[in-house]
Amino acid sequence: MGVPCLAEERLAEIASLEAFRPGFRDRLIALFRGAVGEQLPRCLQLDIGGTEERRGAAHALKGSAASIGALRLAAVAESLEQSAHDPEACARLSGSLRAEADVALAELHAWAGSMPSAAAP
Amino acid sequence: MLTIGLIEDDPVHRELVTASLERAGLAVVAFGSAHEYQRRSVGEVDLILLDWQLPGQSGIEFLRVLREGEEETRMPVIFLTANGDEERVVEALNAGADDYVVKPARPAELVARVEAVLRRHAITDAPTPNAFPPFLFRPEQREVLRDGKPVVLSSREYDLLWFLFQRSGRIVGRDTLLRQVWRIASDVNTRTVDTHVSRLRKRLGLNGESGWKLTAIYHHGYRLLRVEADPAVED
Repeated sequence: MGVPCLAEERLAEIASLEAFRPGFRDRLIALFRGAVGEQLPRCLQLDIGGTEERRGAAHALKGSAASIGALRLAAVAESLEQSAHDPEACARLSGSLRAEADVALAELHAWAGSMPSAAAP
Repeated sequence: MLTIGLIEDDPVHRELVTASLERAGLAVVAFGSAHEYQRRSVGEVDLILLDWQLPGQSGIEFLRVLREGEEETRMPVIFLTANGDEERVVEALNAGADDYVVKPARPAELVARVEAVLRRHAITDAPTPNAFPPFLFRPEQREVLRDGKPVVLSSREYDLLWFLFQRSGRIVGRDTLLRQVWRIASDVNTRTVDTHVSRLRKRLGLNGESGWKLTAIYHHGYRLLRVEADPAVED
């Protein structure tokens, strides 16, 4: 049994904050989507001159993913951060990074859709 | 209400930490970089939560500069970072951090650590005292007495004086005074602040003569400190 896509504990915390602040969950997911949209392309650029940018983008994506509980995405981003100087290693990781980002977003949306909204009618 | 300054460039973590702290009854002012904090806020926060890796000036560099510029009042700082290895922890604590939390911060733990550091610094949300001998404030009448005698002040002078005494010992920026006392955008000329401060200093003996000294801190703003009263001080 591998690492789950999303951390149950983190989802529970987000749900409790949604109860405190209706709309928080959707806003957090939107911010995460934005972070993925911004950092993923920067992570995937493989020209040699982009090492520091790639490392910085991978670090940022790792942080956002960990914050929202996207464990597998955070793990792949960390591997990319550590391998940023090695274009071949980055090329091998790029497929996983894209795939885990897509899965994380899909599962977050599914989870959010399965929860009752705390927003006032 | 106690206010936490959050310097964090990750928008997801920033949102999570902000909501967690606000749920615990703390106010939060968030900044995306150390530069933004320095530009927008001086004296508004009671504690800083500081990310390590920030755009421009890093968190550790910002902390070192902050500590070098402090004379008496020390700003509580807790580092938030994704990297929890021992070397980094030691570097942060040696640079003057009060505590260190590995990201993503668990909400209950983060709140507990923030409250613990605030307690260690004796920073509370207790009602603000009105008495700063020889001055006594009567907020409901918007009046201040010196040695029992009312001091005639304009409405703005009273607001400014009250604001400064509530934050005595801390550096208060001119921009902060314009936003909080004058309630106007801080890009207006700050000479009006300097003029009001100068008038208060002369009229109330805030040059040391009253036992309080209001000094300008170059590039930052003002600080009001309790000092040994010196009746011989000239303006």
